[in-house]
Amino acid sequence: MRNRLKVLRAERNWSQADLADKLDVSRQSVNAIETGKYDPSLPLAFKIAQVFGLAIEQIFSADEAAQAAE
Amino acid sequence: MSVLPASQNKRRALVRTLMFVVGAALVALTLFARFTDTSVHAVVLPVLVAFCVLAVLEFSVFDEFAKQGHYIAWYWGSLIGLVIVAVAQVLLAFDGQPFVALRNALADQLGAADPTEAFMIGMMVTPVLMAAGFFIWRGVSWLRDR
Repeated sequence: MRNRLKVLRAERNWSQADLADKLDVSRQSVNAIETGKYDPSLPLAFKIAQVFGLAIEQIFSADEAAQAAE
Repeated sequence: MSVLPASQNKRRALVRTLMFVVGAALVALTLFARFTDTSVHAVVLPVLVAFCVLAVLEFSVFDEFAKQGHYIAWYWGSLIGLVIVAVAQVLLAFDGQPFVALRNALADQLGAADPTEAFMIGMMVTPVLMAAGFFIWRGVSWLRDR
């Protein structure tokens, strides 16, 4: 799963800690999601979308390799 | 109504602070008992219970990434600990010279244990190594994900 979290966060001039506070998760969680080490659950993905005011698919997309395999 | 703050991040910080305080009290009590030769069991027990309650509370305020980290660390870390115990047990059962020497060295260290004592030691070794595996795994992944 790929995501645009880092770009969206930078556009709003938010630090990882700022975003973590808005999502009510730890900064490590934000870092892990941004770096692709962890894929958030559906409820957290919805919350992320809500915080950025975007649709989930505007933030998250399937890996190109995974898409190619389908 | 919960007495904890509404924000999960604030809850986590509060529970961690309390755990640190109670953990420090446990260490202080242990050191105090060791160096003053005083029995502190009556005080240690409620502190230990408080620590266990806080540990349960801490798990309930973890976010999903931390929970997953704990699940993975418990699975792999404790599994490795368990495998080490099993391998050691099999090795110590062999009759070859290095294994007999190792058995004798262990017996020298532990003294002549009666069967009950030996059973208790055996019971302790497994969870201790499993917990050690968990803490090592969790510590490494925590440092990597900082």
